[in-house]
Amino acid sequence: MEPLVRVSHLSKRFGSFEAVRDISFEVNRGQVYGFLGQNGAGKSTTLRMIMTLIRPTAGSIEVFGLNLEQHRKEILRQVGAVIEKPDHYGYLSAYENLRMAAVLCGIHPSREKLMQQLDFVGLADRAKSPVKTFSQGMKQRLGIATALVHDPALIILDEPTNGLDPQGIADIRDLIRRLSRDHQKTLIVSSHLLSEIELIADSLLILHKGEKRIEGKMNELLNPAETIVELELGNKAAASILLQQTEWIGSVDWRSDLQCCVRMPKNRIPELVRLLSEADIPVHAVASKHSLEYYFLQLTQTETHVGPAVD
Amino acid sequence: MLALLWIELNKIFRRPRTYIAFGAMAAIVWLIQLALYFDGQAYVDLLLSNLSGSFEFSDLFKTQLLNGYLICFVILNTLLIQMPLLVALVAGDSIAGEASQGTLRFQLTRPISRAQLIFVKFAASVVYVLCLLLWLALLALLGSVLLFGVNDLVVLRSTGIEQMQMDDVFWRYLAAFGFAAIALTTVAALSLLLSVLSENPIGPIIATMSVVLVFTILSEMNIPIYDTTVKPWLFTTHMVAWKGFFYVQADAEGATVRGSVENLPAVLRSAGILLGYIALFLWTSIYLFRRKDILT
Repeated sequence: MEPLVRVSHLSKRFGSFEAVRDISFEVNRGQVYGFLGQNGAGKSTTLRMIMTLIRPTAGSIEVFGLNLEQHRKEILRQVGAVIEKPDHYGYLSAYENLRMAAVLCGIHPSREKLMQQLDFVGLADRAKSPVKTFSQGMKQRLGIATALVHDPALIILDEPTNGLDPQGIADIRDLIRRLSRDHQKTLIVSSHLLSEIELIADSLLILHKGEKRIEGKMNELLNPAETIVELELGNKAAASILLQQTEWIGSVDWRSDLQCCVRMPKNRIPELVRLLSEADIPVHAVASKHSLEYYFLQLTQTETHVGPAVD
Repeated sequence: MLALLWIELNKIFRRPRTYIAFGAMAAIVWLIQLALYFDGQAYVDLLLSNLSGSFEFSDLFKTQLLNGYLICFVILNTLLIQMPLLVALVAGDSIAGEASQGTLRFQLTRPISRAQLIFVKFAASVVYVLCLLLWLALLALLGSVLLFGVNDLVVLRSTGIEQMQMDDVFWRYLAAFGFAAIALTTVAALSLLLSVLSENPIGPIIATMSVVLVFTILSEMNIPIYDTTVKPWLFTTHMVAWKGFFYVQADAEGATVRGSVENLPAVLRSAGILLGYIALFLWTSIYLFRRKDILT
């Protein structure tokens, strides 16, 4: 199947700073594709290049099988986006902002249709209110409504939950799920929070310092057989021998005399605790993380290069 | 394209600050009209005092001199110097203001080309300029005519005086306002270009005024080397050519020729140069904007 978005060897340089370095990825039709990385990882720069706000230094972008540079208008007719934060004209109402977005897309929907769009994002009752009176969450939802106004096949949402309260985050997450499940839209969603991405995305790409680090399907990346278990133990020498002799333990990484991380299937954690107890090795703490989370935490907590934990 | 223009105009005229320009202009015009209504004769005496050595003026002439057409001419001389600032307030904000608010992204992630967006913003600035001039015409010309009545227009020049019969004046104002539209559109195009280069709306407004100020000083300075090399190419030199419509030809007996303009080719040449500047500023704006990374 032809991918909806194909990015090949994309780079962007601002003077001597390389914001994005030779990244390639593909997004298939109907996917929710997660873009994960710390602030400054290159997520927004990449999404801006897809939305033609920034010109790439090198590489190419194809959307719907068309070259973006040559078919910009044709492509953007089928793409809706909210890049970084949704910005509207504060002195205009939600309805007027939405109508303006529609006209900019070359369509003139009826009032009823626009009201339906506002209703979809839960803003129908505030249609006439000036946007400057809106909360951040309402602005975010209006941003999504303006991105959807021309019924695009591809929707790009850059950090859509930024600055929202827990209820706002849940609302946006629910909206993304509905767009994917009920309306069969393809979405690219960026975030610096793995917990957000793993709840909504089918596939994931991790960017770090402008480079691609990991790409894959969520169900493969979150494989429970590849759980990382952090242990705080009392007897390193004895524990080391026991862990090495246990065949279903993949690798052991000692962080200190007391702490180690082991890679193992999640369902065998009780068995591991029992083995350690039977060997009289004190177990002070046990915490499990899936390998992706473990890897992402290593990326965000250290400045040194960390090899991928998942191949 | 018309729908996009409608959007831009909607944005300009829905903002309260747009009306500051209209308010400021009304305040200046009314203050001038009020002062001349109560103390106009003293103003006329002051004007004529420079010429009193070579001319004799009857009291009737002095009374007739103070009429709506003269007041409008005085107002235009005063205001057409300040109007570039009012134009820059809107045109300078058109790209940089949207960039600073983030709404430029709102527009550029839609299927419209950057050249289209520049054209539309320029067209909206032109409509704004025309509205300002129409407002000025209503206040300065119609207001002064209603308040002071009409009579022959006498314009003082360093070389003497120009007298136009009252039924030979109105069309000159129409032509002058038309020329002023071209002159102020040049300022709008410059401001738009500077707006493309900036992400803060204050920068283009100040830069536009600085350029206009420096060029105006150069245009007014009497330095021989600049007279032939620099001044003919400064747009500010040509922005004041609207006054040419109020300089008339005289026949062999020294009487003014109705419907004449002393040096029409020079006025048209100035208009042509201003149009050339508009095209240059617009083309450069499009060229730079198409290559600009939108980072705000």
